[in-house]
Amino acid sequence: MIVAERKPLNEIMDNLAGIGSVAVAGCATCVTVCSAGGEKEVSVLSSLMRIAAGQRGQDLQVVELMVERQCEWEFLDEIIEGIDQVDAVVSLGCGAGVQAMAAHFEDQLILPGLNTRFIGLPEQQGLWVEMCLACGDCMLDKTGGVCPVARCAKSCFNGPCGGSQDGSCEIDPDTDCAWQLIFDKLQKLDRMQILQEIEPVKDWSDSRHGGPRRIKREDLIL
Amino acid sequence: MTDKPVTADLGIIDSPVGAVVYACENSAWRAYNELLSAGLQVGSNLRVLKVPCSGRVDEVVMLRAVEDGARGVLVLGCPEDSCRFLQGNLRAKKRSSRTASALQDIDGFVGLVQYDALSGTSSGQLLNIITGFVDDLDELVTEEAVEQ
Repeated sequence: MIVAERKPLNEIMDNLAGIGSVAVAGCATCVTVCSAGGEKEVSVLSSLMRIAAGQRGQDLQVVELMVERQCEWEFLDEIIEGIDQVDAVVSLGCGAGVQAMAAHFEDQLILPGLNTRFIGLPEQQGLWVEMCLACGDCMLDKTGGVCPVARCAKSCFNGPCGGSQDGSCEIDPDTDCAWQLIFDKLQKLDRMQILQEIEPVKDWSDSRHGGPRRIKREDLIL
Repeated sequence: MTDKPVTADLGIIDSPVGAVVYACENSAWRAYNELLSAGLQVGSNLRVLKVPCSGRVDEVVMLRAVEDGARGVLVLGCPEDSCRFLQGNLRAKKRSSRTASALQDIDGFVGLVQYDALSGTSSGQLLNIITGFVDDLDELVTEEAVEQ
């Protein structure tokens, strides 16, 4: 899932200077699961904004909205009425959600309430870790399901660097060395022979280096 | 228990130092009733609300109390390892701390959000906790008034 965290309140409030009414719009998918932009976070931010507005002497009406998925037009249509009644919207969606709302509601000021951080998973309650860089050419078949692109600080493709110490990465003792994890997993699967093959230099053209990416499925296009 | 009694009308808190005390019914609420039975008062400017567990008092509940005029929010739960719902008191402690931190980020906001723990038989301790909380809150509000 996409993992995000709330922007500092003062940054959000500074963006709302001179605004009389605002909707805080949450998203019921990824950012709800990572406790950044779900219904509860919408309520918390709305309360904080009302309190902060009072301290700033700003007459700010705050309404709360939830969208099933901010990154799909069909779901955005459901909140048109609420959007029309306010001067601005603070989106608690990921970067895709904010941009979808900005494109869909052409005449409305859409502001981000979150910083989108990474694609990851909850390693434990309250702790999310990065798992995928969306590089566009998955090599997890060769690495025992552990991604060296995202989880190795140097994105090494042929074994650990000299900074691997006692299973940890040199950047932080709490960060596992991805190549130690790969080694351990392949050993467990009795597939160590995979490591005998030298992985060539990665072709990054499927990644961000070719500009914004798109996937087109002719069979699905109406 | 639904949200209604927890987020009950807090409109009676109209004084600038008004505070809400959320008292776990398994500990602080019992101690509070002992105090009342003994004829002691905890302050006219406080509203004490019974909650099924301090863990029920999340950020939304605390912030709504502040929105409704409370300058202080005190959450009282059971001692560690004594929560009827296992971890409600631990969650309440962390949530109170997070809420206090969020409010500190608001320029000019003066208020106090705290968590404390006690058993249901500790009415004397309850009185000390509340008195200390009110004193700290009064001090903050007085400092603010002087600065203004």
